[in-house]
Amino acid sequence: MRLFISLFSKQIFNPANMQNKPFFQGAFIIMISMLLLSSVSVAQKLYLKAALGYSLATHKDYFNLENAYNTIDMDSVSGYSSYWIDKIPFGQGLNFELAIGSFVGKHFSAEITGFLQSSVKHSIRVDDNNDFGDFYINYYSESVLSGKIYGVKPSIVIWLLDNKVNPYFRLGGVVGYGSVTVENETRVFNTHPFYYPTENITSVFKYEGSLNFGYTAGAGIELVLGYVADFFCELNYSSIRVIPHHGKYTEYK
Amino acid sequence: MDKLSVSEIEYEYVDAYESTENESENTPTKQLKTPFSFDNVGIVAGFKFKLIH
Repeated sequence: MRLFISLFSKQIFNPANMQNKPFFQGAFIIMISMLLLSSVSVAQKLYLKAALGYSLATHKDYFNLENAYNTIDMDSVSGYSSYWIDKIPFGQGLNFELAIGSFVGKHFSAEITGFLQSSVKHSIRVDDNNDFGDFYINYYSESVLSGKIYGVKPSIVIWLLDNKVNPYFRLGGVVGYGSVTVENETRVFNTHPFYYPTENITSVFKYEGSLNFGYTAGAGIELVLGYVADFFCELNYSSIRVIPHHGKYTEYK
Repeated sequence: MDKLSVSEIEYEYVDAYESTENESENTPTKQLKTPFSFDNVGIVAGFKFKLIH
C-alpha cells in the first residue's frame, strides 16, 4: 500500500504535471484506489468484468502542419496551396476494458478498470506548388495519424437496485499513458538543379506522453443472468488529454 | 534513418518549450500548443463474473 501511494504521489506532486492537471484529480484517484483495496482486503462480493466498446470523440484537435520542409513554401511569391486539414478526433475508436471490483454494502462498489483505447486512422494532405519564375517547387505530403491510450480508471459505482435488473451510475478518475503515431509520405520536387533537393521521404514519427490524469462518468444497466455471471451495458464519458513529452522517428528513408 | 543525425531522430519537448509567443518558431515543440485529446463518449457491453458472493 505504501509503495502504491508513493507511486501516485510522485505524479501528483511533480511540478510538471501540476501545470496541466489539477491536484484534486490525483487525490480523487488515490481515494478511490484506497477504498477499493480496503474493500478487497475484506473480500466482500468480489467480481471481475470484461467489456468491449466503441467511442466517439467529443473534442478534436488541429494537427500542426509546419515542419522543416513546408517553410520553403512560405518564401514563394505565387503559386497554389491545397490543404486537406481535418481536426483529428483521437477519442474515436474501439476500446477494451477489464475490471476488478468489490461491493461495500449493497449499493456501493469500488472498481479499478484497466483499459486500452485505439483511435481510428485519419489522414492529412498538403499540396503546395510554389512558382519562383525561373523554377518552381512542389511540396506534397500525406500523413496518417493514429492514437492509442491505455491505463486505469479507479471508480465508485452506485447501484440503485438489488434486483434482476440493476441500473447504476459510475464516477471515477482516469490515469492514462498515450501515444500518437504519424506515418508520413513526403515528395519534394523542384526544377532548379542547385536549389532545394528533389526527394521522396517516408517516415514514421511517434509522439509519447507521460502519465496524464482525467475523469470519467457513466450510467449503465446490469442484467442478472445467473449465479455466476451478469450482462451489462454502459454509456460513459471519459476526458483525458495526452501532452507529448517525447517523440522520435522510428522510420525515415 | 541514415539521413538523420541523432538530434534529429529524437525530441524532448518538456524543457525546450517556453513560450507560444514566438510564431516564427519552427520546431516540433510547437506541438505542445495542442495536446492530443482522447475525450470521448462511448458505449461498452460485457460480462461481470462474481468471484466471491
